[in-house]
Amino acid sequence: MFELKSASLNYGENTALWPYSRKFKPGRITVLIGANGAGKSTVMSLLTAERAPSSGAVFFQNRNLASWKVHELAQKRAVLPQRTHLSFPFTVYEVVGLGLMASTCPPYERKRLIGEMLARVDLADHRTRLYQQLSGGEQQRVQLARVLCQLEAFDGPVDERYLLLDEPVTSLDIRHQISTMEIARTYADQGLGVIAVLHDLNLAAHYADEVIVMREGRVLTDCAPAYAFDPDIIEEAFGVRPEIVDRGNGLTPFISVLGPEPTGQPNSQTPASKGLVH
Amino acid sequence: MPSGSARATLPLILRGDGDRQEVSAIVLVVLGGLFVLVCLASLAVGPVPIPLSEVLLILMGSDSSQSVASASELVVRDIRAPRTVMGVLVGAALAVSGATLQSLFRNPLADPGLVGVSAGAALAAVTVIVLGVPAVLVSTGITTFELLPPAAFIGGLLTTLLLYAIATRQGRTSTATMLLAGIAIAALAGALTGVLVFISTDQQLRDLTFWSLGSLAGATWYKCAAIVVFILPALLMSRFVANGLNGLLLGESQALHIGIQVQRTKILAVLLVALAVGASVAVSGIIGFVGIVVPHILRLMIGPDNRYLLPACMFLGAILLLGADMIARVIVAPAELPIGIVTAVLGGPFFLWLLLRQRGLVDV
Repeated sequence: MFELKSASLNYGENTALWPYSRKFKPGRITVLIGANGAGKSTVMSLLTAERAPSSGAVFFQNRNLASWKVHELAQKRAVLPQRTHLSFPFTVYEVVGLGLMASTCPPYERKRLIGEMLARVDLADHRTRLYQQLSGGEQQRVQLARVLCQLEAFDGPVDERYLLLDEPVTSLDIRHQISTMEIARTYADQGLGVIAVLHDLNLAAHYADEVIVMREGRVLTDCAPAYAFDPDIIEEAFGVRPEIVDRGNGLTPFISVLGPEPTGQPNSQTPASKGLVH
Repeated sequence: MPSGSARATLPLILRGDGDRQEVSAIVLVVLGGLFVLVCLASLAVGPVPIPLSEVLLILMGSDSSQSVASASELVVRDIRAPRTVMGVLVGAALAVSGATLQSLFRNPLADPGLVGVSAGAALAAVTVIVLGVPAVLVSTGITTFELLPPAAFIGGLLTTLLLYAIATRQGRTSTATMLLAGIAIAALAGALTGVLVFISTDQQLRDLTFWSLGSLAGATWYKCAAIVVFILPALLMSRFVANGLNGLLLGESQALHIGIQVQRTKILAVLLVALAVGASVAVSGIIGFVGIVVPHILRLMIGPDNRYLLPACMFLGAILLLGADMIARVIVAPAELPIGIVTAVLGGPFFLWLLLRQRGLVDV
């Protein structure tokens, strides 16, 4: 499991993350939400070992993350970044195959895995296409397939594996946002740990088992989604007041944020200005 | 992505399942065969043409029957063979270092000649020619000529490191900064070289002229031996950085995530480029465009996978440079054209075409 032990991160004089301790358990989807610059990506970069904490430590499977070799780590956790730009004409098949760099699986197994993961992200018929010919959303799904390949190639216990997603659905259409989160859900149900940064509050409310709400490098709330999606907490984190609609029957509440209500005299001069966010 | 720029990267050969490993293997075998043919041609072609059959006989070593070597045998053994070997080494070195730099910078426009690495190596070499062996090293008995390859290597290494430090911030390399910094470094190195040329003696000046244009003339077995100790390790190293470079194409953090030792890969790649370019420049001056044309043609055929691209670059780099050298030898025979002019005449338009096709695809 991943564990932050009073880990903090400073960029020069700026504190991106104040000392923070938390365990990230396998078998659950832990979602980080918060405004831009709240520290979500900072937590992510500590967990991925991209950055070393300024103080404190990060542990993975009870070993300091700094003592892990990169190829060992690559067999246990996979990371999907926000966006990946490639300057060279790789085919979709080849990009997905890059996820198997640290694995020792034989060629026929590679072919099978790559094909299977491409099918899982709905791109089975895109394997010969060049990465640069795809749309942003399709590129993101290719990267997801690459990351899944990396996870699948490892044959150790499933609860030792982690999937880290940094804004995985930002460029996806709504259907693929859901299918991506469903993939994460399936893995978590199998016992794998998922840690994700999400901007869409409804997706977070629907898929998260645990929600960490961040603001200015600190954790505002860390709890189950039913408690985290409270109008006061969301307003404190994002500076906009949401309307949270209870759909009843144990369904995920619907969170609607349309910006501040017009105050004082409503301006009815131009229809375009009505109801728009300032 | 607009369709115009997408079309610009269409590969020439693509198999049904998106996996180009088999195609790459076939291309490697074909290039290997072509390479042997071009080597033989390079021994046969010149101001004095020697029939291929005679070249083969000489190579087999039919010397025991005659006590005095024939003229053809001398030409092949002492002039064309070392020249061919040098062409092979330099061509392979330049193409592989071009492909390596491009992967390292994640940019298809990087070329040792273009971004100043060759100019830095040349400056170091010219310094040695004009100022002679430094006083500290005189006692070791090292000659000016022996000092050239290591000096050029250090010059190339420092330039590559400087360029990388300038153009890369937090793991992201800016194309614009890289190209502009490279141009600035090349101009500065060129200016300093100019100063050295200005203070050089007439004899030194004669030695220096070929630096600016690049030439394989004056190849000897001795020179081949002097550079093979630099270029061979560089070519062997390419085998060990290929996977890492593939990972780096995804970006530094992604490379780390999939298990690449990023730092080690970068250090080896910079070392490879400095060794290969330094040694090449030391014996043949600045030969441009091989490092950009060869990897680009090959990427169109087999894709950017460095495990196949780098060995293919060795073959095609050698083939192209030997081809250019043959043109340089015969086109104005009995005089000869500096090979740098031939590669520039062929490579310049290619580079422009490349830029035009890449417009919009490379984020400058």
